[in-house]
Amino acid sequence: MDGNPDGTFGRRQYLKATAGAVATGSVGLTGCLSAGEGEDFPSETITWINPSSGGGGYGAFAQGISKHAPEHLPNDVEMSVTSVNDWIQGTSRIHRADADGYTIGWIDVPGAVGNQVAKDVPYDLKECTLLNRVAFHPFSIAVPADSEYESLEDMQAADEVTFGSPGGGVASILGAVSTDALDIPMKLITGYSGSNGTITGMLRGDFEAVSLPPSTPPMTKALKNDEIRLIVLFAQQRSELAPDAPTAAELGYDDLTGTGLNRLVGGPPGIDDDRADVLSEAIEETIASDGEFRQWAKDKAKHALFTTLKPEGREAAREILDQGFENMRANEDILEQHL
Amino acid sequence: MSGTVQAVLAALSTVFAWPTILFVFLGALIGVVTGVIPGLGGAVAMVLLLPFTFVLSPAQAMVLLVSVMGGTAFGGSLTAILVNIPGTPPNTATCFDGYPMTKEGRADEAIGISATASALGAVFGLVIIVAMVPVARQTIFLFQPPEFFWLAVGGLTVVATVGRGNLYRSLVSAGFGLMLGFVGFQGQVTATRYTYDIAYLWKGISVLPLLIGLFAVTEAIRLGLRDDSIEVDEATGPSGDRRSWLDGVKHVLAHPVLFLRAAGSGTIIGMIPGVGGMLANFVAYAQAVKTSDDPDSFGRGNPSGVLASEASNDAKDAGAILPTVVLGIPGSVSMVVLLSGFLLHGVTPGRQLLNENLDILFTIIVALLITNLVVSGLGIVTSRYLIRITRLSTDLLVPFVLVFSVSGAYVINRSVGDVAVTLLFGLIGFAIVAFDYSRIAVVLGVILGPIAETAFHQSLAISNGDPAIFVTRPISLVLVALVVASLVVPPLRRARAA
Repeated sequence: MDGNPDGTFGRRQYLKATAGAVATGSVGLTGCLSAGEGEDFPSETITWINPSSGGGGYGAFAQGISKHAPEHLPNDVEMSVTSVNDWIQGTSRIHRADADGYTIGWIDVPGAVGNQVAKDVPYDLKECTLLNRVAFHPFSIAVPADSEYESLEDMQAADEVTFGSPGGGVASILGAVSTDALDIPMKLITGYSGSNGTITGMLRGDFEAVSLPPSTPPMTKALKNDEIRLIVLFAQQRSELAPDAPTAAELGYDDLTGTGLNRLVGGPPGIDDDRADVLSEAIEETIASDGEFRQWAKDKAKHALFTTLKPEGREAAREILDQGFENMRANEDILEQHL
Repeated sequence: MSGTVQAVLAALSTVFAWPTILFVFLGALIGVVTGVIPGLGGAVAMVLLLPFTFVLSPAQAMVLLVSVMGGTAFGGSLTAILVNIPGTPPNTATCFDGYPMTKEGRADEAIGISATASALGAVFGLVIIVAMVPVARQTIFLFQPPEFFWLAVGGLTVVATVGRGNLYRSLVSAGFGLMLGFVGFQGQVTATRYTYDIAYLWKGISVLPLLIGLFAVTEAIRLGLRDDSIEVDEATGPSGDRRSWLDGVKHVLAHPVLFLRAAGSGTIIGMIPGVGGMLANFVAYAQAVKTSDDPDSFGRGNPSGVLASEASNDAKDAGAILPTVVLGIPGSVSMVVLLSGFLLHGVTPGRQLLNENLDILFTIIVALLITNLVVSGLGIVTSRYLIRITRLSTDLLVPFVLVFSVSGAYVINRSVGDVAVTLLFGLIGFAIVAFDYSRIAVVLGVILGPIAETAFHQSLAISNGDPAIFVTRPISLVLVALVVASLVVPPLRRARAA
């Protein structure tokens, strides 16, 4: 045994042991948090990977659903949320997880889909097991309340309209695709911190317009404060947040009425159908029928966000994903300019 | 105005509610202990604590982090005075006169000065930033990408002063930091840079794991290579004091002009993003020397040296809150961590925080105020016991720091890649220190480089490529003048003095 002649542990050995313990502890920490096998499903904690930051809409939805979904599972297990704050890494982690049903997470359509079409990403969403579509947020084009743009025609007639976005994500993708379809001569300025930073940039005059869903909290608050107004909402029906804003359908752009953010829940490829059904039904029941969940949603003061909850089953989620791929492939040249 | 009053009242009720008030004391205690341990500054303690704030409410998390920051500054002054080791870099100037006072048997007096100047310095700084809150609402819309660019460039020019006289090594360090900051996807030019097809790097190198590595792991390695304990070889401590801490309190109160000058410069320098506390510390000390009737007594135990250093040190922490909150640009490394805490808890600095979360801003201010008052009082009482931490064996300290670093880095995103970054930058940080380069300059580059680059691209996009946007806006022009002056005036003064 290494050590001092008197049998005590020497300083060098002690520090070696410390380094070893730290390394072992790191591996052990990782191992302890990975899923194991169980006889009855579910029999252990289900991890919900949130590739977004913990503080945004994705984090709020995940926290709310994971808090109440266990009551709708056959066995009493916990559901914990892990926020990764990196869409590529987070989606990749969902894709490569063990297909035992104990790791699920958000799949962003069209954000993650657009990145897969335009880049060599370390995941393949087409292989993933889809569990449900939790919510749909129709996008819009918004301008400051005192903007010179009063209508869609004004924007189409302009030489150039500057838009802002965080960059690299769903706002850039949908902004670029929708303005291209609407013949708005868009110039995109990126690098803003989330939807709040983007709206701040617009209000202080960095650029003229944004493409974001009115249900996202900073947009909702800006609408309520009459700081911004919508030029068009990409939906069939008008929004109660902006009842004066015309929809894409009213303006003759029916093809754009589905332009928005789909929040899907999925897991790695190959999750057993029975387990996938258990998870899918628990999520749907939580959203559709759980009184406590709805009260929790109101308590979180994100009412507008939660009004977008539209759970659909596994088949509908697959169709939405396939449609997302079709749309993104049709706009591949636009994606390559912005991703 | 009523909104501001309501926010203040809400902040007071939040901070004094149970268990939030507990986090003030807990944070203050952690801060003092961290400040006493050389090398482990407030930023390191805050970084290590950050992942564990997930279980707290946003207000409790902010209170805890701010209290750590407030406690660290005073804790660092204790080792500076008692054993001539600055617990944190901004306590450096405190050593110059604090330690000689200890050797003269005036340690309690020096601690009394430090405690009083620290507490009053924080109060002064906080009063200034509270007074600026109503203006900040308008200020936020005056600052656009060209101004952000110059603020970031202004922060980067400080690189010239952080290299302890070696400009070449500072520039190399900052260049290295800039390279690290440019890793990943850049939206405006739609380019993914220096990622070598490693998906982990697409979003850039995670800043928090990098900071944990660069500061905490590096210090663990340095401590691990030292024999015995942190304790210095001289027998020190407040023994046989002929003057008490009360004399220190009286000294501060008897020198209001010196105090105001030091706290004022500290607050202003603290507001400048990226400048850092050491500059505030040395500027205040230099002012005290230059305006004294007896400049030769400085460095030999002049109480005014301790006063100036500590008043500026705590005032700059208060000042640094304003750009962090109003502009989302961190005024110091501690503020980088605080900013990360904001974002992790869904609190976005800027318009949202000023409009809708003003109570959180005042919660931070009240917490920092109480922390400074608490640690100053407790510091006087407990200083002779706290100092024993510096005598702990590094065999005990190193494992503690390493385990905390690795687990802290992992918990942030549950990413093994983050752990790798932490360990790698622990080694890099050790090399930086061993070869006398500047970790501060590296951090300035990592933090400010991407801010400057993004603002640069945004500015040119706004102006359709016309670079005149950087100098034709009034605030930009003022900032350009300040940046140029900060680069030109010091060498001219040195040349004149020579």
